[in-house]
Amino acid sequence: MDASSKPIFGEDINKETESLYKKEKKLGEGTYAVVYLGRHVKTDRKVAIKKIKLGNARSGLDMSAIREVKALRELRHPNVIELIDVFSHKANLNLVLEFLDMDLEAVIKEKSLVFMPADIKSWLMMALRGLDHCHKCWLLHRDLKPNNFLIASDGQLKLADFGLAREFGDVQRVMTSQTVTRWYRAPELLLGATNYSGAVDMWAMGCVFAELLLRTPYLAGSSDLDQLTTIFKARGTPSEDEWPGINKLPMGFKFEQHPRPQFSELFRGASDDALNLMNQMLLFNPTDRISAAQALRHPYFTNHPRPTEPAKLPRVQQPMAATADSEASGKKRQYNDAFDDVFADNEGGALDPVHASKRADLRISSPA
Amino acid sequence: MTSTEETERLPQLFEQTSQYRHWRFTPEALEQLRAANNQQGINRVLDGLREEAQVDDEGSSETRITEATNNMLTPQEELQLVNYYLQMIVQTITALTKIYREKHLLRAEAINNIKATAINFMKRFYLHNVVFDYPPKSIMLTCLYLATKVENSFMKIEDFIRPLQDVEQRKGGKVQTKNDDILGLEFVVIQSLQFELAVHHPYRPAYGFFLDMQAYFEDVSQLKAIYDRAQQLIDTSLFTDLVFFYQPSQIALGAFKTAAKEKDIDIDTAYLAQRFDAQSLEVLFPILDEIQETILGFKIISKKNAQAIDRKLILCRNPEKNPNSKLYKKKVADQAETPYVSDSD
Repeated sequence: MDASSKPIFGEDINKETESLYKKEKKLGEGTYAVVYLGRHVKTDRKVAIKKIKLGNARSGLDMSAIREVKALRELRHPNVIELIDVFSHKANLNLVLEFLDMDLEAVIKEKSLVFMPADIKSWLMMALRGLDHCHKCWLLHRDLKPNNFLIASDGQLKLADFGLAREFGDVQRVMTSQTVTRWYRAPELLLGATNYSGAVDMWAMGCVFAELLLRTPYLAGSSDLDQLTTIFKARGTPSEDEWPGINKLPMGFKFEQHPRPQFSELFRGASDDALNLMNQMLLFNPTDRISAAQALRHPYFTNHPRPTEPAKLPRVQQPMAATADSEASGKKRQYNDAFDDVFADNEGGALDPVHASKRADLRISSPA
Repeated sequence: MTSTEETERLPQLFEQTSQYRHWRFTPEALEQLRAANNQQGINRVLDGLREEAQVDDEGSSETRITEATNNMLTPQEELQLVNYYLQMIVQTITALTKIYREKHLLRAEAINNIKATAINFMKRFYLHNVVFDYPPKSIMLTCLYLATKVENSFMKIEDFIRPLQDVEQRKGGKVQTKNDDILGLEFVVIQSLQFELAVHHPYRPAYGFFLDMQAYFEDVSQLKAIYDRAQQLIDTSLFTDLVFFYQPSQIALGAFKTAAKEKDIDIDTAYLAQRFDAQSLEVLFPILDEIQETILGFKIISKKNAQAIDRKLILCRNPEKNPNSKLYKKKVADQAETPYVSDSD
């Protein structure tokens, strides 16, 4: 290695990285970060630069920034957002991410679009591939929901927002149950489990699958307790047989008994194999719940119809500039009410209240 | 970790990690890097002193430069000083653990990871920095605090720093460690780590081997004794450069083999020959021997030795990076006046 041409010192490497990108315009702003449209000065590649503000962080770098950088630096997969580079400037951390201008939530909400069964299969397959890669790398995403699945211009779906991601697999290490946006939160988390696995992400994935079929959130509880009731009403209260040990979970108590409804009545258009897979993703017992790798081998994906090619999937027509402007004005940001208590980093430590209120979701673009 | 059926066709997971992709060296390349680093660092010190001479009219700049030149640390001295402070990381976390274990701020099972990650951060840091710019004494605490966050054991900076200040007070000195000393260097550290924060250690593979070996040994208590000793050897391995040369699982196995040998127990035929084919063993054995030699050959850096180097370092610090220097203060003042261009949008 030629020492004179390549910088050795950390700050020189950082400066060199910074000089590779230019910011073009602001796309959106939250309390936690600002997102810019940017370009690589040499290749002209379009990128999104997420500038994480740390100005007033009392304990320095924020946990969600650390988690996101730590996870994305390791993951490389066509269905996971690419973290191209990272650089710091003064007290700002800048993540250079691949530019993705649409998310699945916007597509689901655009009622003028008609989803064919093959489209849903295609999105779900890409989402599961990305998730399977995370789980193989022993990483939990812990915040899967439609607006964390971003969509590239070629139609590829990508997992994004790794601010709650962490490694798993060590049974001795306690994890917080206060994670995942409520409507997508697995029943074991709602019951306070502190040891869990990829099954929590699979539950969320099952909810997203249902939402693709229904075009509306499937299990929309209004509070944590109501969330469980909502789940039990929709899925039937689990018996001790179905979920052995349910009474041993922290905070566990007796629930109202709800009968199991006929799923095929609610999901009228869904094929049997689709319903079968969805039901396996939404099993109460986390150890029975299907894994991402198993789900990808489910007959649903090999049966007719073939998944739609990504480039041919329905898209939302939205001029970038319009959404960017409305986001920048600060009024347009949509939070679903399930978001309020999603942030927690108190595993083995006290939750810093500043962080809890500071964390804000930020999309590069939001539904028009 | 990769033994499930569907991962076997894919590249090894470890090969996809940043640790494998960016933080692996041959011993020769590592030595060259440190030497080049040291040389460029020395040039920076001299540049800084010359620049300071223009700011500072008191005292003779010639004397300062001559003094610095005569006391410049060699790459070996730099390394020894860093290694001494690696040992201090262990001492610090041990002290913190005693205080916080009951309060569940630091969980026992997280300690090894925090310790090993902090040590690794510091080792990586000095592949992209010199002690002339950033003395290890200050970098050490930033690495440790960053490691608590990276290993999911967040604690507030006040909680982290209070016990350290208490110690300083008990020793009768004034309180020197401040929040800003640690946080102010966080970006300096994280950028030198190239923002790659996930680090893999030999502890987990060692536990995996311990479980796996139970199928091959009748006497589990004997195996447990080997495992306990192997963990101690892994503790030692953290201070060495093995992490830059070998994979965590190799270091773990090397520690096991060393521990077994010490206890006169044969794991070569009883375990290794059962689990690996002859061809793999041919590659593996020299690696394990090398690991054994490095771990057993490791020597603690004495406080006396470190103090002597620290005293030299006072004379050859880069004023550009020294918060107490006039040059540094002037630069900070100048910087505050110039607005940052790309933030204006």
